[in-house]
Amino acid sequence: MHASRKELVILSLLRDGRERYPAELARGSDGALRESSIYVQLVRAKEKGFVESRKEELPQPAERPPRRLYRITGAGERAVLDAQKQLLGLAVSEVEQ
Amino acid sequence: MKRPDREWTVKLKPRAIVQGALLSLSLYAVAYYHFTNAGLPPIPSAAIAVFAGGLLLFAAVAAVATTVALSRELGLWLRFQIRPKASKPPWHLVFRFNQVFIPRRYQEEVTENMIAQFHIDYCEALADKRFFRARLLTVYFYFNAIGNVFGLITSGTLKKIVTMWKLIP
Repeated sequence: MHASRKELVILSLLRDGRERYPAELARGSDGALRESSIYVQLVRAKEKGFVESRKEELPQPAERPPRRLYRITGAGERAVLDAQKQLLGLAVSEVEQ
Repeated sequence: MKRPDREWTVKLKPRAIVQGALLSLSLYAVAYYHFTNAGLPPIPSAAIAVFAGGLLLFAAVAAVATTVALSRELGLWLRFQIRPKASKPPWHLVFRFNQVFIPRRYQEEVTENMIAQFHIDYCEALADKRFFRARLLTVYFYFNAIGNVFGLITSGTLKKIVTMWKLIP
């Protein structure tokens, strides 16, 4: 499955294996991801199987709904590798020309 | 500051109503087109009058309900702006907004994440006695909700339209 540019940014940030909150991803992306669209991007990436999520555990009674923690999957890793290979291929063909 | 559970478990009624109205309207249009073009007797004017009356009634009720809901939200929002520490953050409007505009499959996760994050930012601002920031966050919250919808439109529907447009010879 093909990953969009924003999904690739999300996957690159998650590649260190740490689970992250959406806002953490947006704030750590140097402006590449916005907080206003990160939530939708994450749900899409999850539908494609690139990331998986779980709800954070809160002490009961909770004063707010739980956030979700996102983690990269094997398919996500492969999508990043494919994108890197594609970029490398483009660079090689440009050098050859 | 406690918030009742119902605030994040509100069901999706407004969206269902809009979808139902659109569906019945399109069914009516298809039926009307079919009967009038196939030479079959057209739909009696009484049926059209009943349907139009129903539609008008539905529009009137929806308009009143929307006005009441918006005024209530505006009241809550203004009260919050005046006394941020004493009143509850007015997150309800984002629920309504997401219910109507965000597709159901994204809704729960997007809304939960948004409200949880803003709740955290808001509590931090209050703890630091940054009341102006707390007030500003509520405005930013609404912009964020709109941003999500635009994100959906631009990355989904608009992209499909552009792709289809490019395919036209």
